[in-house]
Amino acid sequence: MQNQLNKDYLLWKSFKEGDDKAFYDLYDQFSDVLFRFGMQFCNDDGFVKDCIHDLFLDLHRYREQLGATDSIQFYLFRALRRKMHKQKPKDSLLNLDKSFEKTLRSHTPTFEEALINSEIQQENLVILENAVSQLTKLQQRALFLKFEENLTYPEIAVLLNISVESARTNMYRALKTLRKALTKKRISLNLFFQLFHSCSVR
Amino acid sequence: MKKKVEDILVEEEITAKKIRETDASPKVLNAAAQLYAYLRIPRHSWSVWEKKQLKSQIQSSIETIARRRIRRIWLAAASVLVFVASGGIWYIQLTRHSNIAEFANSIHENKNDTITRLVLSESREVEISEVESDILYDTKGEQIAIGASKKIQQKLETVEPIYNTLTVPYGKRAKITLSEGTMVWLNSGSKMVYPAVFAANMREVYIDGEAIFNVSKDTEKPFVVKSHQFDIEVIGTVFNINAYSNDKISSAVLEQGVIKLIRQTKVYLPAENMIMSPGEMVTYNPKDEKFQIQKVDPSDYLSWHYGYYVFRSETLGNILKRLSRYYNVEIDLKNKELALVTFSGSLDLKNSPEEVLNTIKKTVSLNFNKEGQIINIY
Repeated sequence: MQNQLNKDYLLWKSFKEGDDKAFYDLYDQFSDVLFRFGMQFCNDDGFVKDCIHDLFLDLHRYREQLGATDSIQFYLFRALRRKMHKQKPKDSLLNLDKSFEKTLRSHTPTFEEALINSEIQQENLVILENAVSQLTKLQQRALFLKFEENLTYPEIAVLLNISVESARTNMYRALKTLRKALTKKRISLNLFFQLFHSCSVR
Repeated sequence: MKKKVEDILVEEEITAKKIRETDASPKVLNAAAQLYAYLRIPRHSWSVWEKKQLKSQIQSSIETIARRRIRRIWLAAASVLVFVASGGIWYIQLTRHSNIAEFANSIHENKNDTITRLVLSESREVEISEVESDILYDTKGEQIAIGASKKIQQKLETVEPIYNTLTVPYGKRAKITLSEGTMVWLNSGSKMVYPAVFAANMREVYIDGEAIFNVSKDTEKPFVVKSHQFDIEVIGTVFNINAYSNDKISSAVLEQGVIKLIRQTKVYLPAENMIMSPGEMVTYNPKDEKFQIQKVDPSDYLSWHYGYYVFRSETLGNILKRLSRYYNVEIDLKNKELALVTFSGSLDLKNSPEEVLNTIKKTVSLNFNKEGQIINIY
């Protein structure tokens, strides 16, 4: 962890000092998480890309004036969040349709990856996908920031504009809902499979 | 108390290893591990191709901007800029102060001072008694000539930039030629902080008050004038800045060339940039935090360094404030209604304040008397 912090600090420093390689290193390292982060707040991938584009232009242009940081990811998240907030997409209704389509598409790699690492049983995946979609947007974002991006509660609180306590409470509730879905559905599914088995045996 | 899945996963910096090492039933641990693995799966991933495409878009945008900037440098031949400020106290906390702004804010000058002061490195201070002083730096920034006879030296052996500060009290003016040839006229009640020698890649000064800049052209080193409300980026041009930190509204007037105003805000990036064209005046109002643009005759706003003020429908309140600063006299406007009366005309500043008031009196009906250093107007 400490190592990562130092690495961040040095990369940021050489970027600020005008090193163009460091600038594109920033892009290579952080654009993936920035895209995923952006998609948590708005499902219009074109809009998220535009914001990332503008964010990097600003970084390039005002690099000398930027403050020092030892957590680039958090710094960039905050910057992108602000950028997206400022340039809200105009037609949010249209984006809703698009987002639905996108959600469907984006789940395909999720399943594939899940199967590859095979730590999770496939039926659980369906259950959890369902349960997650029932959570509030805030809870979904909190889960994403903690588990996908390894952020701390104070950082999550800043990005979601809530208190640290509230971040923790929301996280706890979300986890509880998911756990309940997992254990409950598993029982009913197990029952289902047993019935199915006994039928086919006969 | 038995640990549940959510108790385990809600902890900070949770890892698969930590889950395995938790003291709980195998069933709970299995569920926690499953849920953890599920939550770690990246959603909304984009393809390698999408990532590459956006990268090349960013690259080409940056190149386009760089090309445009070079064109702009050629355009900026000579320009004139004025900041006019009036009103009460306004202060904004900037999170992105540069070193020079920090340094400038750390200096607390005596507002009632009557002597022009030049502060060199190691807090060496030179007092200048003339009303209109003339200061000239040599190209190394080490030799400084004050007027025709006085010469002083400072040593600049450190790597860190050494800032010099020139403070001009009310009632006095100063002209200073910096090490790279830029000339600055400082009006009454102004302060300028500048490095004795500029850095290799840029020239940066901080101003509190009003000044005219004649910037020597150097396309390699942009010249940036910082003030409490916004910065101005110029490349070899002439301009005048008036940005008193104890005033509310600031504005800029451009005569020739192109300059850019950069408004610094609390956020990490400038909220507003304004590129100005000749003959334009931009007013910054802290109330709505917006730049407003209008057409003016720029020479009206530059005249003071030739020894006169030109006003077009300016309110008497603002005019008296400027005169009060220029002559370092207290002007007490007893009849408050007069503050909003407007006056147009030119005022010769070589005259005494009484003579100037007599000029105004020709078009505006007012009376005044002088009691010591205070002029009462009614």
